[in-house]
Amino acid sequence: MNPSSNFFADPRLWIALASLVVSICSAIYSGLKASRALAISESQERRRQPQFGIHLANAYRQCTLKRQLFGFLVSVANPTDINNSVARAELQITCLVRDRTSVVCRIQHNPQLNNRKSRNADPSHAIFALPLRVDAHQTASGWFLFALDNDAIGAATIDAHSLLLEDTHGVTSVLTAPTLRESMDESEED
Amino acid sequence: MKAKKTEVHVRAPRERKPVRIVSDAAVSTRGTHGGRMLLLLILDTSDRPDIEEFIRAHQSMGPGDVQTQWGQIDGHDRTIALFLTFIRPVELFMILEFDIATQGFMIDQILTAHGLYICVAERDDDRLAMNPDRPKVIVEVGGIGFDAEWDKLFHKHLAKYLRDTYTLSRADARRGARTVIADWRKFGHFRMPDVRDCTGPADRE
Repeated sequence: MNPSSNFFADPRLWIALASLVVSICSAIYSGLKASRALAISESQERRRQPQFGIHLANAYRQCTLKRQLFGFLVSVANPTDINNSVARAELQITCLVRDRTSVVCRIQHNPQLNNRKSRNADPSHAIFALPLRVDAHQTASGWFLFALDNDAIGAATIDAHSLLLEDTHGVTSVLTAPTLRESMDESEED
Repeated sequence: MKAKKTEVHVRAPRERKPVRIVSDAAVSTRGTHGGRMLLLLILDTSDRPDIEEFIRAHQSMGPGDVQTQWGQIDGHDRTIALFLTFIRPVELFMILEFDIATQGFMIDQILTAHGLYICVAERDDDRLAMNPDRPKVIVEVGGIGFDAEWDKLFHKHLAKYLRDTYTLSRADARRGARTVIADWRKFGHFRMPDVRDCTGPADRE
């Protein structure tokens, strides 16, 4: 009697092989499922990371005798799954001073700077008051207003500017170099 | 506490170099920073126009935020550096470096008063008395757990300095360092009386 033919004729071998194949297939299937589940949970987690989308609708810069006024009409969108708030809005201005050294200033949003003339007397959008609550999947639209005293920048030249919005978690969203409509107002009125 | 090594990222090469201290003074003003005696540093800003702009702009833009960190620059074993990162109203980074033995009193005073003044030197031999009303900025240096470590460092380095300079014995140098530091601290804890403590007899009635 040939022992090798006995070996392959043994049904226990085939049962063991079949269970091995089934378990390999099951492991591959579970691995694929697990990686999909991981991808879904990662994307869910990403949607729970605070961030704002800033969309510019209108912007101006008005020079008066004493200061420069900046206004930005923006939509602040919260595309995430968590409620959030804008805690701080700042205008970051890069100025060039002596030896073309750049100096970066930050000016706080000042809702008291209500200049309807510069905003084209547009009453449809309010001036934002901070903190500004923006719930999950919601958008708020309004003006951020800034004033930069001429004394503060002196003889420096404004090189660039960006709008920074900082949320409750300290995460900053940036709107870089928004295009400004510029005007000069030589009257004292701001 | 074991010191932690970290890298500091700067925006311009000029920020890597510690700002030279031209001279120093101590200023105590009633109603300012609790009347504490604040160290005033007059800084050489000849290659740091951004610091000049920062101090000038600060006069009209009001108070802001600063992050402070004590540390040591790699390879500078005899000095302590104060890393100042101003966030608003002007973004700026600067390093102030102090020799522990000879300028340690400045560090001690900053820790005692929780702050310092910085201003710009108008000439190379500038002194505060030459223009006491120059623009200056108060930098608040909060309690960041450095005091205990500093106390040990200051005593050790000052004792070594006294031993090397005046050829004192080890015990005499240690005793000398203790006495000098204690005397300085008595002086450094001076505070201008509060506004409420300066009312006249008529007000007290």
